[in-house]
Amino acid sequence: MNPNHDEELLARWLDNELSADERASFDARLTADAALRREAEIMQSLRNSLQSAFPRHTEVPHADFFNSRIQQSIDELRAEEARNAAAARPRFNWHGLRWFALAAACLVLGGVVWFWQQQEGPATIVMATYAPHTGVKASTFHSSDARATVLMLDGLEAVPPDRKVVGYHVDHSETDRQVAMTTLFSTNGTVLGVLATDAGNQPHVITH
Amino acid sequence: MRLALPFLFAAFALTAMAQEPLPVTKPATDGKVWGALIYASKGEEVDLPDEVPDNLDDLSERLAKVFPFTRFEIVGQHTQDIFRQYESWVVPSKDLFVKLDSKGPAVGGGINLNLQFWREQQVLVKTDTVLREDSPLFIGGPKWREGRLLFVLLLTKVDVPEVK
Repeated sequence: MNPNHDEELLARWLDNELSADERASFDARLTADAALRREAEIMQSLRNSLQSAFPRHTEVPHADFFNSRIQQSIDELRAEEARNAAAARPRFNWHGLRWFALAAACLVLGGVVWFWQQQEGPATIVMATYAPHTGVKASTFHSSDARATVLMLDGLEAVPPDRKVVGYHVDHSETDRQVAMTTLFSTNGTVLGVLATDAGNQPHVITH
Repeated sequence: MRLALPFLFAAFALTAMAQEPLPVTKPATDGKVWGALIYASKGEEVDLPDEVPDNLDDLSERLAKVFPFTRFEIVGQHTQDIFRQYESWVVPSKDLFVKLDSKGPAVGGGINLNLQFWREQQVLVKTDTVLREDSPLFIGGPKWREGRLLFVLLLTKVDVPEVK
């Protein structure tokens, strides 16, 4: 016999839901099968115990029952909150004073910074940076001591020590947009160098 | 020969016209900048050359507050116009120089610039900068020998009205 089918029959037998033919057949099986009979007795005993612990019928509380219980809970909660708030409130409001002191300090600091800036004047600002080479880090800050804005580039490849870095003391320069060229002149009119950009906008500095 | 004369005359006239300089129109500018390449090292102080703008008389002292060096030697310097509709190159040296593109006057004074710092044919950094008078920009460049190469940029003149 299929165990699941036996369980179903047993449950229906306990609930008195078997038809007359099914009951007669199941009773005959209980008589013949000791294991099935033992299981049925256990289930019957368990059922009786449960029924004695919990009444079959319980009167359902009416709507007012729930409403009054909820309102009572709310009132109790509010009362507790009021008691806690009264206990926590100090005679002197240190919490409020702390915020007032912080706001006052911010105002004073802001005034000092504004005054200082008025003395120094509006500063150069580097708003955004982009370093194409990975490994090069660009950072900016304003130095009040130096009265200058600083753009620091870290991670640049060093100039070889044996390379001669040549500078120009340019007296004046002329830019020719037609040929994308800037010519650098010394004080005596000598051409120090020419910066030209190629079709790819790459600069080339040409010197004598 | 008679037929060739007008053509010869036309050729001569064209050649003569080509020899004369064409009138030059100076491009519009938004201001002027002074740029310098400086070699910073540890050593005795040196005097600054006369080309340094007056409001940077204390340049060495100001640089020393940012960079850990005592000697600041100007390798090269260049005062350049900031063109309104064209790029401006500030070239105090063929090794390190700056390209500026003006984006017009800035609110509160100064000039909005797209600034690029170049090392020969390689751009090291691109920035959006508001350059203001009396507020120099110090750029910390690559190390060289026992010191470091720095670039200083100062807006010396503004040709555009301040935007409030």
